[in-house]
Amino acid sequence: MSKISKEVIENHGISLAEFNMILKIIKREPNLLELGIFSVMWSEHCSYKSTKKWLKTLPTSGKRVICGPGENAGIVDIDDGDALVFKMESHNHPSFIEPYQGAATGVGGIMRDVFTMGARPIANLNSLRFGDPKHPKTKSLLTGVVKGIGDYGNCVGIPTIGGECFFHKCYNNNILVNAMCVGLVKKNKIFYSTAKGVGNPIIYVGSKTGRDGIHGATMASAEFDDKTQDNRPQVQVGDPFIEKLLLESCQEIMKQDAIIAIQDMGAAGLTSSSFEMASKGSCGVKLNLDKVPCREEKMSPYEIMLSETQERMLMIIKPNKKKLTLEVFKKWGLDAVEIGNLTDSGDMELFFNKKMVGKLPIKPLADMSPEYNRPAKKLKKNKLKKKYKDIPIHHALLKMISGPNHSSKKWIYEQYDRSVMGDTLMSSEQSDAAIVRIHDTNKAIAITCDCNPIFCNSDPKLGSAIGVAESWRNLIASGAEPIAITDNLNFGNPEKEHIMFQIKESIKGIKMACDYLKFPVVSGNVSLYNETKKKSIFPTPVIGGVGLINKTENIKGFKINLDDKIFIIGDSYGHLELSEYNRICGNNDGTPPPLNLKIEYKNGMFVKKFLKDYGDLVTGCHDISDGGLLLALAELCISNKKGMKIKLPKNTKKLKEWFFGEDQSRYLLVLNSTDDFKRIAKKNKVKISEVAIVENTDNFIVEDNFKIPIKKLIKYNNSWYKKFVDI
Amino acid sequence: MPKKVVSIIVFPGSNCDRDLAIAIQKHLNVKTEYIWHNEAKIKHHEMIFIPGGFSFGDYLRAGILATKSPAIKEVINFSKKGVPIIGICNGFQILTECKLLEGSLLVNKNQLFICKDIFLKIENKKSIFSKNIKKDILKFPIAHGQGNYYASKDSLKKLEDNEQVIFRYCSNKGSVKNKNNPNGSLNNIAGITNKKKNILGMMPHPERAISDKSTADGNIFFEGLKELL
Amino acid sequence: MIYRVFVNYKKGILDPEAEAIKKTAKRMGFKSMKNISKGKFFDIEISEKKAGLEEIRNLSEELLSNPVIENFKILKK
Repeated sequence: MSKISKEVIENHGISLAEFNMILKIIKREPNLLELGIFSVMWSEHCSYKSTKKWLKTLPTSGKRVICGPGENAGIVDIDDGDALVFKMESHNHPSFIEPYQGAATGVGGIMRDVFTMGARPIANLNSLRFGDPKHPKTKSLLTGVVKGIGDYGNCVGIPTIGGECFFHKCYNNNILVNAMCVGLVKKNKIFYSTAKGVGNPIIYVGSKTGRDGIHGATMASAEFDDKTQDNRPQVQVGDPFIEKLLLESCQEIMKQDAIIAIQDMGAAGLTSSSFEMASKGSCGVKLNLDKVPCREEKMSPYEIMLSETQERMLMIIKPNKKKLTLEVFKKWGLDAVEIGNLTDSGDMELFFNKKMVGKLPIKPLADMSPEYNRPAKKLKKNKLKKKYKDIPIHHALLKMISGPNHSSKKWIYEQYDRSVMGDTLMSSEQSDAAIVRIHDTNKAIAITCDCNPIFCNSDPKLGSAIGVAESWRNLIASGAEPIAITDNLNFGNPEKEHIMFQIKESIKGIKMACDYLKFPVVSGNVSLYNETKKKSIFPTPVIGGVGLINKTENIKGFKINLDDKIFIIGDSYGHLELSEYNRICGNNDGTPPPLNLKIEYKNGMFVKKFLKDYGDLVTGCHDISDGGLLLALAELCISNKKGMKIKLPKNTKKLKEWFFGEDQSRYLLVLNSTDDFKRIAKKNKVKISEVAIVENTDNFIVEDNFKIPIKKLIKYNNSWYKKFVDI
Repeated sequence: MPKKVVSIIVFPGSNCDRDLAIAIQKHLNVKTEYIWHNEAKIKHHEMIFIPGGFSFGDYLRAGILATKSPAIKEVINFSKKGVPIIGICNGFQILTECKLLEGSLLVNKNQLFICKDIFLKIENKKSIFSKNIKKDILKFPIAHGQGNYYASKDSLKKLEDNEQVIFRYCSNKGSVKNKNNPNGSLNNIAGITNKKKNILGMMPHPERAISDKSTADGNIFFEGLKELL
Repeated sequence: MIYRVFVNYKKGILDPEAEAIKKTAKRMGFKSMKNISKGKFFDIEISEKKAGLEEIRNLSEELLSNPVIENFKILKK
């Protein structure tokens, strides 16, 4: 066997120190196949080597947590023997190279993570970040990504019911596509990925292996350069039809008590799935790689082990159920083959045409994977005080609701099947969180994705904590009890000190808010090196929150009725720095609004209890976030096609601060009766103030200031996407 | 008396089979039986449904690959004997591809998948499927990429003359105009029958409109089918 | 032996994809473009023994094309 050259090692993204560690583990030089295996197992994507140290500090347990990070997805208890399985994952780099396939395969991957655990997916969400709309690539990236997400989820028949979409020039060459999936499983029917039982057969099922995405996992962890856009052959192509067959056939086999362990062949394909399963069960594995179904001729063991062909699963089966398992897969028209078995050697032994082509110890490879404490340092920012001019309130409102980040996202979500499965109760733009009923019951779950990268860029710790708080608040406003989150941490190159600083701070912020709000992290994903030509994205830690709604009658959404009174809950200070208002005026300086977790918790608990105990008095509920009070009110009017009259605050000198300030921990409650509300708020020492009345008018009226016809609001709100994609 | 059984044909890639079974059981006081596409016999054939979804991944043309399944041969046999057959969404596409219904469903005019609530005008109440629907305008969701109904001029004229058009896309007040046409369908057509009027194909999803929280007009549609059993 | 089956829309069927391509092409400066139509083709390899053409015709009619909206043409490669 030829000696491994320095260049080959470098091409595999392995550092000299890491190579020396490999020599120490296997006590000889690895061959190319083995080197390839190390390179994917020790890639940032699979090993979390730059972030592991910090991720370990996050709170991961709680009274409802059944399974925290480390499995295919996290699991929480939602009573009555039901559990939710959920996770969010990024497909950023692949989506930039080929938006349609990249986004589609991202959705496919996250759904497999969920249904390998025995759950049936019941909702998909996504969190998207694109570059400046004026950037020449933005339009085609947007249309490709949205179509990719839609086509995949629609075909599998899982509703895509919510998410976010945000444009900023920091994503010009590094878009973010984070997909979240939530599945439902019976608590006693959960499947894990721990391999057990010497001699048990290892079954490969799904698409045939091709040469797609070889080194995808290492690609996902490497900075982009201009050449990357020529990397097309690496792109994996998704097949949602096979995914649907995999879902149905796995569900059928899971009912038969045949599966001991199961894992999706995601990034790093056969390599990571086999190693992870064996490592968790402290087993050895023998694989006959020539048995792996291949799409192309003459594929080498290296290619077979590193291929990232989508829609494939690996499972350990009870020997007496092997025949039955293969029959079920045959019925569904899927390729399923026994490609090896578990051993007690503790080694991964790879055979090709009866010849051993590679042998690696499993435990040491996982246990001794690199963990870095990379240096971190805050970057001093040069404050560039630019000149800007305040925009009058009503112009600012119109500009906001007709701009890229606050326009109606109808163009996007109408491409997603939201009604399949028949249990969607609230989807995009109907409520602060998407809501889906647990089939055949009177309970429901609320799901939301949140992140404010503008805040995170200025202060990663505070910004990230605000992300968690907003997720929590959105769930409360939807009538839910917040349960847990999944996080998707998107950052630049961790080898740079100021990026590492952002990562550390951000995790600290998430920890702080999760600890206080008792809102544990049960699964997550890290995407680093989101950086092109030395330009990094803003830190973007996306929080996917899940909550439980005991009774579907408690669901409010954005509803308003004639004569309802609208109250703010929480303190308003008028923090305009980094607000949407300041930014549309051209002022990007400052810090995020402060977050007082004690007040956050108090206000949230008050709203939650009031919705539960006095639900009849409440017509609707909405949190106040970016865009402040006035945007939140306008959204209610647009959603209901109804007008309202908005009162002025006592201090009329600070109207902009009052209407557009982005102070945290605030809600809007729409009430059809206010006496009990006022009394209970006073008792709980919660700050409230009446801000608007729903009147019999077709206008959005701000007392003594201006009025805008609702029709105009709606027209403005619906115009941006149409114009943008139609150019 | 034992309950009657309604058959639902299931293809690899069907994804509205469960929703449909629930709606049928809820309203028609019958059992439902899933018929796997590979089965050559359909035991219960008082009424047959072909559900929505992406049979065979919608590859080649939506619906075409499903028409080659053994169960569809059996459906064709029963259709000739006058058995009531309803195809929804992908089911409608399959019925046109196997020529049980006229025309074809092209890619939506805006080239995008469309999921939203639409209003349907019941064009005539003379068919067995529509005569007992106790409303004139229904609100159902649509969710399709290929729902743009097309037929040649001659076939279209025959369809209209023979009163085979059952549903048209309309406004909430029932006006049938171009702006209420979500996908470019000729004459705003959303649902038609065959000449003998025992086969119905429709793009909108009544089975997704049976919850009280969202639109509930699906209940009215299924209640209207009671008499057929 | 390989047969190539071309399938395209019949005249008069609106093909939104072709329309979109046309719009973009015009924007790119292909002012002379009067029309563009889109189709697909299938390469079918068959063993020499079988007669072929008749089978291919049936396949094209019954599976590869939809006579309501599409035409097909068979070419021997």
